[in-house]
Amino acid sequence: MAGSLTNDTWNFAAITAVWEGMLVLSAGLLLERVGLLALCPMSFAGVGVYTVVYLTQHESLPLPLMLAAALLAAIPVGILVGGIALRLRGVNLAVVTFAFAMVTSTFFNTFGFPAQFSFDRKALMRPLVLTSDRDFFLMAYSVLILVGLLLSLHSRTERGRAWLFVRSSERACLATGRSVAAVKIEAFVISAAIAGLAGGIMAYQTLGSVSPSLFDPLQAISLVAVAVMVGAGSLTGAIVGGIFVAVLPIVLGDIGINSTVSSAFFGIGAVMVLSKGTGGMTATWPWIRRSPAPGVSAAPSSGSGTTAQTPVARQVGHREPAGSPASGSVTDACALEIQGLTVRYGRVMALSDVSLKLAPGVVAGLIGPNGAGKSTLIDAVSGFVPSYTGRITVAGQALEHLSPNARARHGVARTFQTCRTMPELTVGAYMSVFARHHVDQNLRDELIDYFELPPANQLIEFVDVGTRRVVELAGALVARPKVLLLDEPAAGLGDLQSISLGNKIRALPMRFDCSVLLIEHDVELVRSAVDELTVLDFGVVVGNGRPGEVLKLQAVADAYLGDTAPANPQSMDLPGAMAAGDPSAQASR
Amino acid sequence: MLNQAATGLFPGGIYCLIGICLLLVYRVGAVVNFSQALAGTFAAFAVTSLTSDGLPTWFAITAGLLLGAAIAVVQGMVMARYLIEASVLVRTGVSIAMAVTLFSLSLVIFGDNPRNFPVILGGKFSVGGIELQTAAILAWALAIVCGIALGLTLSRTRLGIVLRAIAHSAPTAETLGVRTSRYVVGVWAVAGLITTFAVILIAPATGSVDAMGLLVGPAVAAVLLGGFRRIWLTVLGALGIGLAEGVTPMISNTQLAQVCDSAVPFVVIAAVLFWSQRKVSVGDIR
Amino acid sequence: MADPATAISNGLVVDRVTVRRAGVGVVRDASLTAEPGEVTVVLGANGAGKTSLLESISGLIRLSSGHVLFNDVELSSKPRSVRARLGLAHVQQGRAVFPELTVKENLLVAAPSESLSRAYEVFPDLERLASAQAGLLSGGEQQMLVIARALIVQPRLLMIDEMSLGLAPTIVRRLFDVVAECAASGMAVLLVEQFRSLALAYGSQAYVMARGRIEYSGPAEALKDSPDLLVDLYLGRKSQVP
Repeated sequence: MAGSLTNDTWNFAAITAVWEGMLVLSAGLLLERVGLLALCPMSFAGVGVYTVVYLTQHESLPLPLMLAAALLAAIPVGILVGGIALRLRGVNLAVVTFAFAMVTSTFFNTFGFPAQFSFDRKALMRPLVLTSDRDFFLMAYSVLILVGLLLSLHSRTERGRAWLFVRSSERACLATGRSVAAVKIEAFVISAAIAGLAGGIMAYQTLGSVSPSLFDPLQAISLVAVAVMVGAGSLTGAIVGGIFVAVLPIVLGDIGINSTVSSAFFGIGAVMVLSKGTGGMTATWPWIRRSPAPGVSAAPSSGSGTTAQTPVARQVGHREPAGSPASGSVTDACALEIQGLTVRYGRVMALSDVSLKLAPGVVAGLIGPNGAGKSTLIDAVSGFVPSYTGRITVAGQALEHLSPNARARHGVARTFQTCRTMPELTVGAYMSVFARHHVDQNLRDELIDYFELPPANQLIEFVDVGTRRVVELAGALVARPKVLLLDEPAAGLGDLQSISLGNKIRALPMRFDCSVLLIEHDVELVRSAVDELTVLDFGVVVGNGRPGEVLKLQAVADAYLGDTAPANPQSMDLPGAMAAGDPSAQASR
Repeated sequence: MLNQAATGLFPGGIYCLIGICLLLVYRVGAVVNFSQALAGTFAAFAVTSLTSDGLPTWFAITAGLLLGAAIAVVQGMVMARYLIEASVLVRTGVSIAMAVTLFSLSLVIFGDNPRNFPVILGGKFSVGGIELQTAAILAWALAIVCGIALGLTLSRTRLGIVLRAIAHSAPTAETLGVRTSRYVVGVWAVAGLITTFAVILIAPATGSVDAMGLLVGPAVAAVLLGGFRRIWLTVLGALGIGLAEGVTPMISNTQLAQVCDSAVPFVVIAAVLFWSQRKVSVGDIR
Repeated sequence: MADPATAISNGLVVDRVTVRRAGVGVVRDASLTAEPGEVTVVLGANGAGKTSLLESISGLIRLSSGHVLFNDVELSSKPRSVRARLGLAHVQQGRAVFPELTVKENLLVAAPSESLSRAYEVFPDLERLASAQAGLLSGGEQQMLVIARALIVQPRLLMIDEMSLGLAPTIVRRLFDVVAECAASGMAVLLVEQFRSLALAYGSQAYVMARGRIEYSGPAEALKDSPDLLVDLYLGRKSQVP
């Protein structure tokens, strides 16, 4: 059976498996870890090949330097494409990178590589010790392993984890104070570098005679299909992918099937993976499958938390003394002051001249019926409203013209209505991304204790969804914010858990030295957790004061129960007002 | 100079046809179909197999058209059945994977050797000193007819109304009793049929699986010029791109011109997309 | 009030339905019935789960557990368009018109042109606006359009989500009149509302939802007569499921 196959074929194929694996890794880390679909990995590799072949004609550098040159040369191209990714997202990025792959492919097919057809062509020489394919393969494989290890180390740093935040939601990343642009450029630099390195290895494999047809865009996207199929964010995925691409054709050829069928196989495999919506082959293999931290039962992410996962101290009605000053903070300025905030979306006024003061050490609540503007207010304070009139200051510092991540660094922390935690991180790892400069382990552990969260080494995948929202809350506190904006943190928690959370929120200023603005639909929770309450209706403040008094106001009951016409006549009966998709009509479910 | 530009008319017409199909599939099927030209490529190669077996050309071409439409129907059914809840990005990813599959199946089954593609309409003629290919006229005539037919169907018929409704919100249409998956598969089929004809028409001039599959690149650029919405801007865009590609060889020597040719769609795509995203603000990112 | 578990051969039966969105239970163990010839209202503050409940009935989202039966036919496994053709009409929150289509075209999506007159009878204004683009209509006109679009196929169950949101009182009153007529002609009508007064005036059966659960079910009269009870239920203070 293996008559036509010699060791030589296998050795050569093994080297192919290595650089294919690197390319799969390059595409896969962008896709799996940052969520960017870039269809031009071969373009980066081509730069690497070109650099090595070019240098061969002019210098004679030792192999390590050549590989380094290939790696470095690809980086500027990576930065260029990364810059494109700052502006274009999703399908747009895929389309542009595909077109870019077409251009580079034509370039390599037309011009070839330096001195490709010239008689004076200098062949690329391997070092003596790596002349045999087998030895070269071992070296290349070691490089792949090294790259994989370095990536693995990187993924354990806060910068590496921030990539997952961008993949999950750019807003979530900005809310931690990190720059999305920095993450994307960093990811493209690393991706291009790995692909460039792969190009260097390609060049050495064929002693400088690389076939330009390898860079065809359709071949290039075949790589991406493999990356999708194997779930290539990790080294294992890359190795598996590389082996597939290199070995499968040989095996098929050996049993008499045209080797190109393997690509068809990858295509179908990718379709299946995408249809299922799960992560690709390696995500489901038993020895790769993640397991819950030892000592903790593997609670699958069930739903609403009606059965409390963690024991809850039943503290119904227990209240801390009102208005206790935050320990250690002696600031005169309000923690948060909003003056005359007006937000317009088109012709609709989402917020109209709203003013609110949040003193240090205070927990304030914000309630209101459908479309009242509560989330818009939090969006405005945290920097996600493109333009507004009015003034917002935090601890005396005006926030105008600051980007969302700059505001986060100035002490504004927030949670989101739709939970944005990452199942592949542990509780502790997730929380540490919020840390500004270095992670304060004590603070992190204290927060885990305080909120009765699962232990720091527990994967979020195994945490139930209601508790994940509390993890998000705790994460926001790691940054020691001055103001914490909570957007419906109790959604999805059971009744007992809600009460418990309310009590914990109540004591936050004392324990962690921050002021809190809480949006909630659960009026009972709000009543027990806050010192003062503001009620919004149609973008206007209709009540403000102590909870007990405000909730008795007729205006408030009317706002909820709708006996009167809205206070703001502009929002009534406008063309298309409250049409589906209008951001001011935040239909709450 | 005009003669040079006129050489771009034929590809331009093909980009226009494929572009209209891409636009239709995008609006109703919510996917940027990277594999649009590959079903037709597969069919075009099948046609040559049939003709080399001795079957009459018209039969082979008809069979090819049906085959192209059938492949598109299968693709549409996969989309409608398994990817209903998926985002546009995931669906586009699936179309990319399908492109890979179709591309390699074409190579496997038909090989990449040069083939005799039947020339549907050959010859050239001169109009006022400019040389035009007859096939180019056919392509443009067909493109204009398709454009008009599509426009009229969408605006005047009940079918068009339902398609526009699905394009805006398939779930809402379904709550009104519309069986959206049937319409989606139907649209894929029609797009597949037209694209197959376009690919078969240009096959003699391109020749390889690669080149034919990559017709989708300039076609996407043309659709982008129409904002992925307007039929007539797509038509004009395809005309512009075709003419630009015809003219670029004049600017520099032939080697560089080839690269410039493929750079035209890239530049158009990048420019249009950047322009379209210029107003995206921090409030829009999620 | 009839126990949901006993078979009602006409009308809608929702039996212990739980709906999860992204793992969060937005509807928990909810049961209700809507009988033909009656207007049934579901009240509650926002976030209570009313919209998710309607969406699980019409199939816009999946339910995690429980059953939905209409005229004795189990709906939960059927696709949306099938449920619609079985006689379910769902008018979504926020006036989901097709904005680029005209009024007439919006109606034609649902039914052939012969049925248009039915819509114009109920809302004569729509005939006048037939060639106006739906996205440019006022809120009240859009609401008339989506209700007409639902009625044009003569459904047997009409579900409307927050019909009165953002509309002037006179228009709302007119819409409620139309809805009452539908019920009188034998349709089962299920209204979700946040604003209570008109809903209770026109409704016969009432349910109140809070935090995903049905906290009250009983005749609408009873709620009309005790406004404090309703405020309590909305603000989450008491629970009165019999």
